[in-house]
Amino acid sequence: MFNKILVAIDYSAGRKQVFDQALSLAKADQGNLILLHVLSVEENNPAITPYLRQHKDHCIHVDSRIMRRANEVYDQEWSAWKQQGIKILRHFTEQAIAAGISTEFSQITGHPGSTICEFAHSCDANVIVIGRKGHSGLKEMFLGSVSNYVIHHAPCSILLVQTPVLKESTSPKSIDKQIYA
Amino acid sequence: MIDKILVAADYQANKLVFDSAISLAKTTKADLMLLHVLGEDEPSFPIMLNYADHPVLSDYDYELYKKRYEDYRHRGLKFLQARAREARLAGVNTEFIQLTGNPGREICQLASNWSADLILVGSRGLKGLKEMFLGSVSNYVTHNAPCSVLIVRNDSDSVSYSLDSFDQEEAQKVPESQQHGLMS
Repeated sequence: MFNKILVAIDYSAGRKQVFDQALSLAKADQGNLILLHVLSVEENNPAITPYLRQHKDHCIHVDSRIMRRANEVYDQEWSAWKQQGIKILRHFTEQAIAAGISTEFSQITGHPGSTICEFAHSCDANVIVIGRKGHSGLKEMFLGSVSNYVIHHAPCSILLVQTPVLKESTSPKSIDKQIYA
Repeated sequence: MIDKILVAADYQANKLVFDSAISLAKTTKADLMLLHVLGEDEPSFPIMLNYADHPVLSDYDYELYKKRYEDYRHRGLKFLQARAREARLAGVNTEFIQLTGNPGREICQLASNWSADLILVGSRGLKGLKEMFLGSVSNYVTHNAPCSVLIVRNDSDSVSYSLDSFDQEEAQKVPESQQHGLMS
């Protein structure tokens, strides 16, 4: 029934839970897993400042040597960031294979929501497993909910996994705390 | 990990919803709860006829409405019983419940009361304006559920329990005379 299970993995703390539920779904139907990590600047990356996210040619007002150095640093940070994602993917893949489920992984750069949907479409996935942080209301509007995008645009079934951050009161105080914590 | 699965069932629900619920419950040894919410936005919900302002007539209308409603409720129960029987045959511990109200809210409330680990909902597949006006139950559930949600999307080629086919199934069992009795 769910033979091809696409698992959207990110760096958030809930990824383990997402993976576990995907694994139990795969075991239920003898499906194979495809782990996907979408690299995007939207994901909270402390190493990359907004200034350096600009295209390399944009910052003409800075000394070119500084700019070149900055870009080198940026490239290093980016590849380290990428490696970290691959490490996570590899770790999960090994775990799934140890559980007797055929698994592959891939890492794509792009806008998370649309990339996940396109990838699901191109590999004919039966179900997408994705975590949900439980942002609601204003916070969801501003932060942009990847899972919401996927729910409305996916070509197949979706398993939304509720990841630990759930109790979130809508009072502004608690939101502030969470943002600056 | 998944011990309790709540299945939000309606007549439009895809057969896939039940199949995946049963196979999931089987492998995870989870308990199933089938829920059917009697809601006004279900197409088969009886409509109160109140065009006549005459007390005698409106009394009659009300009686008729009540009868239709009972009939509708009964059909829902039958539907649930049939699905529960299927699940029990597959060796899954199954309960069912019928509630009245706003489907999305009832589903989320039951999920937290029963401490479900997973909610299975079908998707009506409404998009854009239609979704805005008709309201998407699955959307409400995904935003308000206390647990994980599995949205099972209809494939056009898969079999669904449409109300019509279920009615026909039932109609074959009900004798002609009784059927007329219900209609009049």
